[in-house]
Amino acid sequence: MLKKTSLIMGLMMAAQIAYAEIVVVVHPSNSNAIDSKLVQRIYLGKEDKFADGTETIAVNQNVDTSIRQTFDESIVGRSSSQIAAYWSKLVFTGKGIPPKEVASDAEVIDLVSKNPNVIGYIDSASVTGDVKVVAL
Amino acid sequence: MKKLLLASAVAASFVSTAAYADTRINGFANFTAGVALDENEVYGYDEDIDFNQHSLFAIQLSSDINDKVSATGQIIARGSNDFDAKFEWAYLTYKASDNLSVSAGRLRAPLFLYSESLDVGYSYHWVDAPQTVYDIVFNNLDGIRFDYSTYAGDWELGAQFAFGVIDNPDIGPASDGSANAFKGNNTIIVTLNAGYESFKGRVVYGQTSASGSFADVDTLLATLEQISPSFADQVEVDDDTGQFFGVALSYDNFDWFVNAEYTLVQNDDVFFQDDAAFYVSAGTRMGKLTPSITYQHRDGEDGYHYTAQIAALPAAFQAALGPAIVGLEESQFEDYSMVSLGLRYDWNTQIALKGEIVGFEDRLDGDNDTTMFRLAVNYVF
Repeated sequence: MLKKTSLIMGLMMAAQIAYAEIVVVVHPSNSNAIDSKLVQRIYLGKEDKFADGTETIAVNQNVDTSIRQTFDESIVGRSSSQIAAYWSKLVFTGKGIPPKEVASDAEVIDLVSKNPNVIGYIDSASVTGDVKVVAL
Repeated sequence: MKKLLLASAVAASFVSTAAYADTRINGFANFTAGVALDENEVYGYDEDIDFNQHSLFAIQLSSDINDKVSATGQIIARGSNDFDAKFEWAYLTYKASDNLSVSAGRLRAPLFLYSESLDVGYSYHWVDAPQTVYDIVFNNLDGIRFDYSTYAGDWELGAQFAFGVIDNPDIGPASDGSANAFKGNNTIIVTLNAGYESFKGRVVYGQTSASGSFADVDTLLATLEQISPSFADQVEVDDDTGQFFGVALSYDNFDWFVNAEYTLVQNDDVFFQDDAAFYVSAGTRMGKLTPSITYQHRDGEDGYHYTAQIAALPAAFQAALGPAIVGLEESQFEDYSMVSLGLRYDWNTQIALKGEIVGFEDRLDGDNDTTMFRLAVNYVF
């Protein structure tokens, strides 16, 4: 049991090293308070407004990227398949549209930097001055 | 075939407007194969393997007409209906505020916890939503539905109100091959739901003014009508009040889940029996695998309703009609349970594979007990 636990912890640490750090980013002018619960709600389609009442537009990374899988599991809190099953419920009842997907950090930065409504996530190593990192 | 052409023409016209309105096309499909271990039939499956009974292919078109108004159409081709494509939903939704939306048209009646995504196999862990609870003669409503949702701290709260007409001209064949029909006028459905972290609860009340035509019963009713119109009125399904109650609870922390639902259907002055049904299901998510176990039971045997009325019939008719009426009542008796072990495998975010083994126990007649196997592929796009 102890061995297993330490193996898992070892794997988790290895995973952290491999995936580096994910940061949530918004437009530099977006000064709304954003916590991990809000991010989770936004990415599950449960909330579509920032604290100041402006609309949120969430951007996802492609489902086959490791950053997306890490984001789904660590921030949204479920596997990508579970989230897809969750969205299928909303889509087919007309209750929501899943976030648009893009292929790279650069595309996320591009969309976020052009629109104060957009929220996205990228590898911390990709951060530029065009976006603001949200402290979760 | 004509229907399919019409559907694709409509689909094409939706697509052609894509330049003007934001139109989305999504779809889902379930391909389910099932077989029972012996000739006893359970939910349409017997010892010959069947691929159609619960298979379907569906396309949904949604179009945002403006910021507030959207249109949704869902076309489903069901294997049980020879894959004839049919518009099952067609409604407009008006988003009155962040909390309230109003939909009008043909839409899903919000009877059960899983009503809205009932046909989307990918959205749940079963091959099918538990039949003892979900197997009823209608699921859609022509009318209007109000959906309200809000947050109160960490609580998610919601309410729905629906009003309209249930119209199902074909709920299954009578013995002469004609279609049995069911209609529910002035149908009202009210639901309340609350969620807190991993917990969710829901209650529902519905009522309808039910009418039906059943070829096998009509002959008996015609005779009864001549002898005792008041008795006939208590048997036939003609503007009689039916009531529906439901409670659902679920706990889902994503590593494991338990959910349960109980429903009660009560009818006055009809030959139907009152039906109480429930299921309890639990499962655990281990990476791509979701094994689960489900127990379900339907008790649709609340006894003989017409003993006093039969006794009051003139003696000459008692001998002839009594057994026919008792026979009709008994034909409605049901009391059975099922235990199923299921496994879902998430192949990717669009396809899930499922298998299940179901033990069926008929508590009225043990000779009907059987075991059924099913395999399913669920797809969403």
